[in-house]
Formats: sequence, C-alpha cells, structure tokens
Amino acid sequence: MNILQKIFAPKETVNDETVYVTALYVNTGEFVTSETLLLEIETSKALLGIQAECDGYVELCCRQGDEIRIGEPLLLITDGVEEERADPEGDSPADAELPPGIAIAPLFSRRALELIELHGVATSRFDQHDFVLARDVEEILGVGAAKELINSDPVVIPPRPEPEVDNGLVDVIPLSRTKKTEIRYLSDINSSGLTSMVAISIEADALFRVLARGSSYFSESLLPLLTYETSRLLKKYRELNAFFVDNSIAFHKAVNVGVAVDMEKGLKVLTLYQADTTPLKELDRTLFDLIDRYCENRLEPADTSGSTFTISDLAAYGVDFFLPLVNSRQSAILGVSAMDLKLKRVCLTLSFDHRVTDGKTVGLFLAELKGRMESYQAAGGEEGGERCGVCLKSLAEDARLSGFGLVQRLNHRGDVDYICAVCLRGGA
Amino acid sequence: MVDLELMKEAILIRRVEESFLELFSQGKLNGTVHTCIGQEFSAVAFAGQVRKEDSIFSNHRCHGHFISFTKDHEGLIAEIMGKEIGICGGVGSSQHLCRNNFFSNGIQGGIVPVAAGLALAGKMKGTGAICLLFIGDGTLGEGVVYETLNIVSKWELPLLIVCENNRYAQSTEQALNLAGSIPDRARAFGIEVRESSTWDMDGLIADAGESIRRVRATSRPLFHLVETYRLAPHSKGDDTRHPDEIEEYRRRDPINRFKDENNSLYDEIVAGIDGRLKKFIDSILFADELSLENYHESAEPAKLVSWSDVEFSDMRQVDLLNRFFASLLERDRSALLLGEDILAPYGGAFKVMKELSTRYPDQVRTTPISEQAITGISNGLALGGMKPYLEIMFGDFITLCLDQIINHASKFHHMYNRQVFCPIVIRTPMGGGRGYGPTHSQTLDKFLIGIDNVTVVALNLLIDPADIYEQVHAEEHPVIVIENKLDYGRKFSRPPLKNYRIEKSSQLFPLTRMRPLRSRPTATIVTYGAPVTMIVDTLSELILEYDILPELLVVSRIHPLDEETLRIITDSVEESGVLVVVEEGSAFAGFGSEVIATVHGRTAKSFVSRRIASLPLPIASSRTLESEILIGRNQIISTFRDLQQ
Repeated sequence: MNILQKIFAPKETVNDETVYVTALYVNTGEFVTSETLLLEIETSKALLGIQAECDGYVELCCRQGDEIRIGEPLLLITDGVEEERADPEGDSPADAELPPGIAIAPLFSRRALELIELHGVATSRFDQHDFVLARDVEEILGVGAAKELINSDPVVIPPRPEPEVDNGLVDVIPLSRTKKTEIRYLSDINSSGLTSMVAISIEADALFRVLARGSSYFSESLLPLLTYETSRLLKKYRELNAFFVDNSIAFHKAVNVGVAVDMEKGLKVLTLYQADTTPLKELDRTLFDLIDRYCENRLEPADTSGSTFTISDLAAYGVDFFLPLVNSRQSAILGVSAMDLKLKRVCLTLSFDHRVTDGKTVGLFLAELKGRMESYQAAGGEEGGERCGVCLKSLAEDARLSGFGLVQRLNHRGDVDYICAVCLRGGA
Repeated sequence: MVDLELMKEAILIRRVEESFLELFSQGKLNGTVHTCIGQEFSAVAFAGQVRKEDSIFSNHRCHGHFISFTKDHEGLIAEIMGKEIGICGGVGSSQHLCRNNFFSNGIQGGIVPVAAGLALAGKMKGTGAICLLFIGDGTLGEGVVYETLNIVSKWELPLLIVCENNRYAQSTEQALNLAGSIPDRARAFGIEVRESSTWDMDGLIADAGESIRRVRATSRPLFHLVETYRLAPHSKGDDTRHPDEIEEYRRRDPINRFKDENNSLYDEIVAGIDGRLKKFIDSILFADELSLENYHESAEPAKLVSWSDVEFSDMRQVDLLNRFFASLLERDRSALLLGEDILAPYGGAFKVMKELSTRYPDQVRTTPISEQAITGISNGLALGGMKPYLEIMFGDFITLCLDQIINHASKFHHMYNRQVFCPIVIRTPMGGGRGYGPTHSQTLDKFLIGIDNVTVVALNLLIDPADIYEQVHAEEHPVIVIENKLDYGRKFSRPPLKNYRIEKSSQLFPLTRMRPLRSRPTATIVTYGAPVTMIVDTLSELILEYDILPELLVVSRIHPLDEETLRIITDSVEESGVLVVVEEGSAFAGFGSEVIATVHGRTAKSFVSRRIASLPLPIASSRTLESEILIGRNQIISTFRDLQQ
C-alpha cells in the first residue's frame, strides 16, 4: 500500500493550535476521485472544505467532532485498502519505535510551509521527515548556502582589544543587542567594499498632489507608489532582487519588498510580501497596518523577515540625498530623499552590490522607475480632460472655484500643458 | 577522697593538654586548641561513666571528654599534630573528633539537635543506649538549643545534657550576655535539672552516675549543670580575666589540691605520664600527613550511557510519591519520615505523606516548627544508622536548615576522615506560581548546589519520582530533593507532542531527554525541575511558528554534575550550536551559569548560549507581577527569536 496523499490539519491562522473536524463526507476504505470533497474543518476564522488531490482509497485519521492539532494527519489517500488498519484513536506512541524508512507524519514549521507554498514544493517529498523546518525546504530548493544563522557555526571573533579610552573624558556605553545585530546584518554585504550607488531625480510635485487627492493612507509619502512600481520592475531586473553567495548569484523567486522605518521604536524593515502582484490599494493598506503594528510593538517575526529588496525613506527628515546600506541576503536598496522645495524634485538613490549587478543596469532600472513614477502626473491629467499641470485641478473644479480658467503654458520639460490662476501666481 | 584511678585520668588529660600548648609554642601544631584545664573532672565523671554503646557529642572543648570515653589519648595527640595516624587523619584536629560513638564539632548550638538525633536512633533501635551531650554556658545563646530542648522533652529522648558552666563565653563574662537562670531554661521545657560542681569531686562522680542511670532508666532527657572554671585561656592569648580571680580558682582546683596534699605521689604520676607522652610525641614527630589522594575521592570515570523509553503512568506526581514512601516504609524499617504537619489526616502541606502515619506510626514523626532542630535531629539519626527523610514544608524555609546542612551533614564524612556517613534526605518544594508571595515561592536552589558532599536532585514531570527516590535511598551522603508545588498535582503523562522520543538515561540519577525522532536538533535546551512542563508546552510553538527544533535535556541530579551528564549536554551542544539553560531561580550565579561555563570548558566548538531565568526580585503575590517575575513561555520564545535575528 502506498500513500498517495496525506492531508494534515492545516495552519490557517496564527492563533490556532487545533482545528475541529465538523463534517466527514467519506469513510475509510472508500474510493474517491480527485477533487472529491472529503471533509470540512473549522478554524477560529472559517469553515474549510478539503478536497482530494488524487484518486485513491480513503484512510481516516480522525472522527467527526475531533479536535486535531495543527500538522497532524486528518486523512490519507492510498492506492489500496490496508489489511490491518491502525486504530484511528491510537495516540501512537509507537511512532517512537518506527525505524527510519517508514513514513511518519511530518510536522511542518510555518516558515517551511510558506516556502513550500511559495515554491510549489510537494509535501510528499518530506514523507521521511519527523519535522520539516525551513532548512529542509531550502535544502530541496538548492539554496543550501542560505543557512540558518542559528544553525551555522558562528564565526569565531578574535578577542577585541580594549578600546583605549580615558573614562574621565568619555562615557563608554556598550551597544545594545539590537544595534549589534544590525551591524552584523549590514556588514554581510557592505564589508565586501564592493557596493556602489547611482542616483536619479524625479519630478514629484504633481505626484504629491495626485497622492493628496487619492484615498491613500500616505498622502505625503511616495512609499506605496514606489513599492508598487519598484516591485513590478524587479521582476525584470532580477539581479536587484538577488544576493551574492559562494561566487554565485541566488535569485529570489519572490519579490518581498522591505520598507525600513525608524520611528522611535528602533530601525525595522517591514516586509510587504509578494509586492509585485499586490494591487496598489492593498499595498497602501498593508503598509499602513504594518506601521501601526510597529508603533504598538505588535510586530510578528514574519513582519520583519523575508524581504528580498529594501526601500529606505528619509523624506520626513528633509534630506537631500543619502547612501543607504545594502541588507544581508539582498543586492540593492533604494533610498528616498525629501522633495527639493525649489526644484520640486525627489532624489532616488540606489545602493547595490557590484558583485551581483553593475551601474549600467542600475541606471536603466532607475530611468525606467523615474518614467513610471512621473507618468502618474500625466495620468492625472488624462482622466477628466484639461487640468492644471501643477495642482492637477480640473477645468470643472476651477469653474466651481475661481472661474478664471486655465492658461496654456510651456512647462520646464518643454511640454505644453495648463496652469491655473492660483498656481500661476505662485500657489495658494 | 576521690578514686586514684580517676585522679590519674584527670592528670593525664591535663598533661596531654599542657603538652598541646607546648607543641603549639614550638610550632609543631597546626591550628589551635581549646583546653579544658580546670574542668577535667566533668569529663572523668560523665564521659568516663557511660557505656561503650552509648554515644557522646561534644564541642570545641572536647579533649577531656574524648580521653575519658575512648582512653585513646595517643590517637588524639597524633590527630592534633595533624598526622595521618590521628583518629581523624589530621583532618578534624582539636574540635572535630570522632572515634567509635564519640563525636565533636566546632559549631556550638548545632551539636545539640544532632545529639538528640543520636538519642532518638538509640531509642528506636531499643538498645538502651543513651546520648551524652556536652555544651558550655556560652552555647545557651543559640536558639536551636531551645528548639531541641522542646523536642527532646516532648519526644522523651534519652539525652543527658551536661552544661559545663565555666562562666565565660570565650573572653566575655557570663553576666554580660546571659539573662535569667540556666536551670530554669531546661525546667521550662519540663526537663529534670540536676546540679554539681567540679570542686566536689566525689559528689560530681556520684551525681553523674545517677544522672546517667536516670536517663537510661526513664528514657527521658536530663539537664545536668556542672559549675566549673577554666584555668587556661579559651584558646590562647585571649584571656582578659583578672589574675586574682584565676589564682583563686587555681587554689580550689582538685588536681592542684591533690598535688599539694600528695606531692611526691603527684610528681611520680606526672613523671610517668610525661615520660610516656614525650616518647610517643617523639615517635610520631615525623609521621606522614594525609595525602590529598587519600582524602578526596576523585570523581568516577564516565560510564557508557544507554537510553530507554520513559514509561508514563498517568498518575499524579503526589500519588506516585505517596506510593513510593509507603513501599519504602514497608520494606525498610530504618526509613523514617519527619516533618511539620505530616500526620494523617493532614499529611503535610502538599499531601505527600497522606495516610502514611496511620499505616506506619513508628516511622512517621510530626515535628514542631523547628526547622534547624529537626534537620539536626535528622543528621543525628543518619549518623546513628537510620535513613531520615525530612520534609521542609516550603523551600524558602531551607535557609533555616543551612547550618545543619553546611556545617554538619556536609562535613561529617570528610572531617571525621570517612569513618561515618550521614545519609540524610531533605525534601522540599520550591517554586512560585501559586501566589504565595515572597517567602513561600522562591527558588533557592542556587544556595544549595555548591555545598561539598551534598547531592541535590530535582524531580520533574518527565520522570517517575520513584526512579529518583530509589537512588536517593541508596545514597550514602546527604541528599536534598527539590520538588515543586505545581508539579505535585500534575500527572506523569506523555506530552502530546508527536515525533519526539522521550527517553531516560541509564545513569544512577537518570537524565531525561526529548529528541526529534530523526531530524538534527537546531538548539539544546537544558533544564531541571519545574520549568520542564512549561518548556514542553512551548516546544510545538517553537517548531511550528519559529522554525526551531530543540532537543530538551532534563537533568535530575543538579549537583554535582557528573561526567555523563556533562558529556550528554556537550555532545548535544556541539551538534546544535545553541545552548539555552532554563531555571526558575534568578540567573546570576545559578545552575545555568554553571552549565554554560562547564560546557565552554569542554568543547573547542563555539556555540551561542543564553540563560533563561526569573527576575532577581522577591516574588510578588499579585497574579500579574508574579507571572512577570517568573519565567514563562514568552521569555523562551523571545530568547529564541533574538537568537534568530
């Protein structure tokens, strides 16, 4: 008898340790075909129907009304009916006696499940495991070098010479653990000395006005829009969503954009998973939620791990220009400075690992990003006819307000557009 | 006129002690001596008249008592000269003597309950043996004396307490420190008091004989006050008494009076004694001293450890304990349970002793609230060949027992050069989580795990307590067993976590480990005692949510850490690279620090280590504060999260 499919109590929410079997639609020994509805379980959030993924004979591991711990088997589909079935009630401490080679029900860690789902790995590949951790999935994926930090032999750090300081002149305060972790994390790429940086400016004045008119949570930040556009470009510029390892380049399969924030609670990189396929509105909302949780110290480990590219935004501090540092297991980081109030421009800087990519690629990437970003102000004009090229007020709106109308002008890019009376006078 | 033989014995005692003072001034004596010059007849009268099967416990001023009881002044001289052939191999010297049933110790009040324990052992064995205890008037300042007077009276123990009143506590006159009357102290406890003095030798000898006879006949305690005077300093060079006063007593001294009245006879006796002493001292002047190899038993080499699955019984731990003690009392009549409130129907604060006093009334003794005395009595029982199991109601109260643990139980075996064993067992529940507050919740294990010769074991819910107690019963040395209030009511059941093997080692005190069936663990958690349950409950979250696959090693003997245990821990850490030690006490100078430091010393591999422990604060009663102070799931999870970052 071979097991064709094993169905485990799935982890649907972080809160659940168990699920309830609310309905069983099949019996042990019954032949089912693929997509047959087998059973229904209840989590703290929802009722969930589970279907067969193959044809075969059912072997139940639960009864209706049972509470099953996450990761434990609910049902097996096999290619034949077993002569002597295991007692479904058995708590099977006999597991302990199983010699290697006989299937036991593996328990999957959440990170392992995420990786399995992300990369579409068949869970049957882990039939011989007792536990499946991220390392086990990575091993199968071949990202063997991406070792668990916790598991690898720690680097032996030679004893540090005592800093020669005069305690009468200075106060020496040891670094916090967080800061030390940060240093180790940033040293990974940047200590190679092979990072570089390219910058570009984007016309942003009208962009902010678009944002102000939208329903964004971030009326004064380019972050959601930048994340949206950057993540879509990263599918094309794969080197910027990768990392250097063992004289190879490991390309991340997912685009998970990390957004660095530091608002009195320490520097954290909040992860927007699969940003490249998430709609703008949803990115906007997710980022808002993450920052909300950050401020309330409610971040989960997954909220601050797993990013494949980072954006660091120092616009709030009025900076003109800065050099961000590339994070561990990444090849690039995008820095967002504040808008130059005279030139109405925002400087974007992209630091990158030169072992993975080069200035030309990054230049192309930034130029394309600039085009995408600036297209929004044009887009703003396209909907609803003529608009003021500065405040994007439509002719209809102007008619309600001043009634002066719009004046045609040659803008600083050499294009012809319109400007309203208020903006022509220098703004409200 | 006193018996000449007794006078000769008194002169022998005096000449031996005077020879000590000479040897000291010649630099041939390491340490110090407290002589009983002037008080010899108390020794001759009491120690000289008890039987061989009786026992004696004496104090720092014990040479006379020793010589009168054992007649082995040469063994004493060799001892005080630090020779291997001395009665305690030169380890104990002046204040720590042991031969046959003679013991002395340099802790004043502490010897009182130990003597009571010896008396109880004699009484239980029904041999008619009594115990003779010598204390001084200075000892009356210590509280344990009164705890014990109460018990020996209540329990009717055949203990003859001889209080040698020499009117000075070291250099301080009695009037400065002593209130009330000495005889009234004993009478207050319903103990018969008799009084004599060393200046009336015939009366003293007769009175002593009568006191010994009464204690033996009634099997009740008796307090015999002996007025006396020490002619020499307390030790040496610490005499501040007025010379006229000393001179007055010198004239009244019985030996000096004998000398004045029988000058030539006295000279003849002294010459004979001195000649023999000189000859003996000369003969051993260059004798060997005990070597370290012969004093210190080196740790046993590591044995090969095998593993077997833990068989869970689904019984509550308290019921398993109760069942074990019932079977123990049934099969071993020398086993004795003592403690406060342990009689049926109460059965102790945590019911471990439930019903046992009904079934085995002779082997279960409830005690007054006198922790120091009952620990001392247990020590005496252990010296007397019994196997006492003392229950200290709350772990916090163990501080009251520390003098008996550290200065008596821990030291007897070695300071008497391995002539005796003190297999006392002290059981006590530590730990918080029940809102009992600062003095009923603390985990004080760290104060117990550094005591020489004292084994400390801790129960946990992954091992049958009977497995631990069977070995505890076999131990020859003192054992402290740390139990846990919360664990008593919990069941010894297999944790629901799948794909882990739960097995115990073949060590005498088994180590339990939980190890993934097949996968290599990514962390090693070492713990003992109460935190086990909480850690086991956290394992699935660590695995499923945080991608950490720990191996859990639960140590049952936490002091000393044996070779096998250290090897098991080190091997695991070399494999996982991460060592996290969890304990319910606070971190500083605790079990965790010891484990981490020791493993560091045993492996060349580098590894990450963390201690998880409670906050260093008195434990609050309020629910929120208590749970914030004590270790919990959150700390375990956050520690591992930090390690991952």
